[in-house]
Amino acid sequence: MNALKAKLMLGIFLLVLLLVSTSCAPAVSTGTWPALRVSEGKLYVATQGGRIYALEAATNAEVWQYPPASERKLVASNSAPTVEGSSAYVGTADNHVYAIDVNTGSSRWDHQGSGRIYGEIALDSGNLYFGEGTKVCALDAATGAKRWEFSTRAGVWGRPAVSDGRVFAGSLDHRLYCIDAASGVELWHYEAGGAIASGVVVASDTVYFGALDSAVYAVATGNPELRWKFSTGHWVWATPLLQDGTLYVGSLDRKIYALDAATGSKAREFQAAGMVRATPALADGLLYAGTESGTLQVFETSSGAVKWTADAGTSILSSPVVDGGVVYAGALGDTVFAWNAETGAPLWNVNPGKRK
Amino acid sequence: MTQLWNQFIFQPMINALLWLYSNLGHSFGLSIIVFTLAVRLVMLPFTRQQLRSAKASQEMQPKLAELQKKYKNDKDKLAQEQMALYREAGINPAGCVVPMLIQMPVWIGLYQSITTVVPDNPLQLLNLARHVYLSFSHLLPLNSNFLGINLGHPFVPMAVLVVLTQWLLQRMMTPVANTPEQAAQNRSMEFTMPLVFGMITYNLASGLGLYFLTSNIASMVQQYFVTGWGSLEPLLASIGLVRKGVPTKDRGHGPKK
Repeated sequence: MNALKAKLMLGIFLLVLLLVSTSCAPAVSTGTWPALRVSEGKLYVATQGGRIYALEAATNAEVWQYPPASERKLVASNSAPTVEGSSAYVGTADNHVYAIDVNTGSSRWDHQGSGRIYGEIALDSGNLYFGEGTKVCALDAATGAKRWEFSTRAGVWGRPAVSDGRVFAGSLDHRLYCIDAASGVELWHYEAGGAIASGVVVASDTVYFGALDSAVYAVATGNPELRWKFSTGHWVWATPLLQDGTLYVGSLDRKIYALDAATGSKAREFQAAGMVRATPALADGLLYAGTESGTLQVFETSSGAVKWTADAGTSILSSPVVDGGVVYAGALGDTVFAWNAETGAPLWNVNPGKRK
Repeated sequence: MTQLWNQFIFQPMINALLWLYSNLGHSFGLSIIVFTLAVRLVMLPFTRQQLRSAKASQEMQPKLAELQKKYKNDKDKLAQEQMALYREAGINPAGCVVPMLIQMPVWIGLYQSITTVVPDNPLQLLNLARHVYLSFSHLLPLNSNFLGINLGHPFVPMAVLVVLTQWLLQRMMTPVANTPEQAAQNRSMEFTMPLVFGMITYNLASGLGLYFLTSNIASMVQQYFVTGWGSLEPLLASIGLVRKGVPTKDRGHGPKK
């Protein structure tokens, strides 16, 4: 009886330990989600599965994949490729930035950094600016040569913004940094009330960002002066979207807020079906928002009414993109969906890494 | 079920850990140690019952061995006699298992809390967002450095310490074997558990290793006061740390009969 009991206890314990170990692991080991960019009829998809795909936006036919199917896989990325001219730039969680020829899918250069790259890459005056681990880095877009790097005290996960020779980047160390774009020297920093995981947006003389203290911030670009602060009901992780003087900000409180960019006063709020992690897309008076609960919700910006809703099955954690009357969204697990932007009629869906 | 689990075990634990972090000088290591000890304190009545039951079972081993010898060809009769022996001694054969099953959700919650509260990538941060009380959001990200160790990353010496303490604990918990089968089973337990914990610590954040280490040391102290050194005694005697052949309880430790 005693031996049986001991074996039973050991068995139960090991089984539970195994279950707990596996249940606590993230759905995907790299902890990322797919991200999209559309440009000149091509849809670029950075996948969790470890490859970058260029698809014909109209038909989802594969144009190329990087690296080619015969080569080793990349580590996944949740940074939407930045496309400029004939190059696409994408950062990955294996510390690389890849410059890819958009016509052929071949590599132009490959920068190996020292930290994971989770955020999108900003491009300005021939230079790339991005977060790499706990640093903000600048590279020459033509060659991949490093211009400078600037250390913060925690991860830099959001897209920096560049304006008037200054780079603005938020860090999980709660600070918004203003860095000289030429030298990489800090000009000033602003201490927010929480970690900054979102990207930042600059317009005229104000920089906008969200933070994990549930607030949206507007800070002057010239000095660390708070212009206004707007509190939501949960973390603001989505990079704000600025359009015609209105700032659209998604929050994990399941709402999207339309704020007056000058004053921070709320003009409207849109009730989503789940946490809004990513920046919504805006086109033709419609606001497209992906939610953590797996729906794409489309709102009329004028009334706040829901125009249509589609279900992707799993979380949509990156920004939808709208082009040519079609809205595209990538869901967790790498399936990409295309719907008619006006009616919500499904056009196609494909998992580019699992195509037969 | 998941919602109940999150609401009553997982989320309170995560946020208790964050509360400790905010009140212990923003030291994640210290928070894990205090949190582990606090949870053990709450679980003390169950663990004490479990240990006492295990000790009583150990003390019955010679009689059980006799019964096994006597009724080796009659399993039904053996089972009847064993149950009668348990009844006579006032021991519930499930006395070890039930407290362990009660404690298990708490240990699992503790484990999940420690692994969740230091997110290493965006999906893990999103998972934390689902469970954190917003009043603690300003604490994120936690400073995971403790005594020069980054508790968010694996740390090999931590895995070694976990294996060592787990092995010592296992030795203390292992009864003296009366039969070759029992000896084989004891050896299996002695090595399996430390290796399992060692592998987990080797592969995951060392903050989890610190929890295992604290938990092992606390268990060893508890075990010592209930059953003494157990099968560790011959080893300690061989290096002169205890006197050979003198039962622990006779030296003033362990429960008095």
